[in-house]
Amino acid sequence: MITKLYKYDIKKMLRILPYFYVITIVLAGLTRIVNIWNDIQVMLIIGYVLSGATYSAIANVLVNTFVHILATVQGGFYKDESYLTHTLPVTKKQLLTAKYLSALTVIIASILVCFLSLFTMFYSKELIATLKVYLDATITGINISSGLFITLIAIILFAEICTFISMAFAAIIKGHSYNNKKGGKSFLWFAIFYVISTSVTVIMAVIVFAIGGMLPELIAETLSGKALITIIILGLILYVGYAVAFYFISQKIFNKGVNVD
Amino acid sequence: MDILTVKNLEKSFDEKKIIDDVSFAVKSGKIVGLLGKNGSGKTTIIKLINDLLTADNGEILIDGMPVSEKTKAIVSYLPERTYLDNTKTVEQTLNFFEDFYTDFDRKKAQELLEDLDLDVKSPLAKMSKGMKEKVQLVLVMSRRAKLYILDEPLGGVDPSTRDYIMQTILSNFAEDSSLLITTHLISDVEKILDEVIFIDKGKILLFDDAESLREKENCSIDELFRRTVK
Repeated sequence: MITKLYKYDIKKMLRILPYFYVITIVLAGLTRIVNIWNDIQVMLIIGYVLSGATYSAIANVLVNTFVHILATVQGGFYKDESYLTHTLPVTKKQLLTAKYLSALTVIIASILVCFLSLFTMFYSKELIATLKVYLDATITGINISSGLFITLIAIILFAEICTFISMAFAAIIKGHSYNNKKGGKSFLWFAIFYVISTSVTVIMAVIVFAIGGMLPELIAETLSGKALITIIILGLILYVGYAVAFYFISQKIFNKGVNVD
Repeated sequence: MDILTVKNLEKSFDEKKIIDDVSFAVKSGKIVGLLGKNGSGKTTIIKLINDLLTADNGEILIDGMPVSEKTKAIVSYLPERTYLDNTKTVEQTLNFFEDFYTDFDRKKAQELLEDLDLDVKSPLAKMSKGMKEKVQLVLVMSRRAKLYILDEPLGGVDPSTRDYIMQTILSNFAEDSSLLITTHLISDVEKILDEVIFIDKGKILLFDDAESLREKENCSIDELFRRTVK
């Protein structure tokens, strides 16, 4: 059943976004092409305009991704469509998991489109060489390969996205468990969850750095290899922990039942 | 055997009791009318039975089981509002129902849609509210469910269409299935009802067999309702 729910949820979330994806990538491509002739004054101006439009398109993709996800979750669970959603022969866990997985898929797709657009606009051998220099400087002293370092950072970013989705879902579900002012209460709960998770992160960082004798490095401009690897591991553990915790909080509140309008 | 049992149901909104100690049962094969004025609590009861609201107190059993995905598989529910996804066509909506409900009879749905002159290729966004309500009724009545719950199926519909809707409901309703129907248009449904429940201000005023009520009170259900609920 999750596969069926996922199929319909993803179709709904991706109803308009692919058009924005195409526009963004096309704008990035045009910017790249026009910049070939940037020694010509007119082309330089057009290039500026196009790169501005591409940045706007990237921002639009990101904003619309979150708007579509939240609208699909709220609409499917609490608006007119919920009269069908909650009467389907599926469990609440299946409903939530399908929405969660489809939201994750859409966010990853949107981020990939944004990266692809930026890559199309800016890729050059010089840029890659510069990035490699920065990367080598960053990983000096932590005895891991640049490939593993990039993978770890990608995993942390992925866990952070999962945390954001779980937190947003938990806030919407908690906010809609009340009988009135559901939108405002959802927003308030998101702020509460955000403050709690941020506070836990800071407290955990202080504790771990104090135990490791690295406390001064928390506010230092540069980090030692040991401090950097500690931050990576701590980030990984915390974000995975938050994502799982908020998912189970959402599920627990959702399982208690809904009060649709 | 009771297909639906509601025991001591209670629901409040902002400390105002909307449903107050409601208990009743629907037997298999019976058509039961939940009759009340607008705002009497009919839709709230229906929403509680369909897991759209969470009860403060009480118990709901469908075919002897608490409300779950298993009971939802045997209940076909028509809400008083349109839940159809406007981005889909009628055909895509049929696919959706076929995907999720094993008891959905697609052939029957297509025949009913044809009878109603509704094109399966039509996008729902281009349909009027009345047309969408008909599509929804077709979807609900094309399931071979054990219990049909219809919330105000005649609300906002002209008298000639009301007759058609009643005909559609009755001709597509299996003998061993049960039907719980809510309405404030009692005269339009009273002839099909086996049992009636009068509800007012969230409380059940009367729950009895329709025929014996008519005989005992020597009047129609509509007239009795007007006398009982003032």
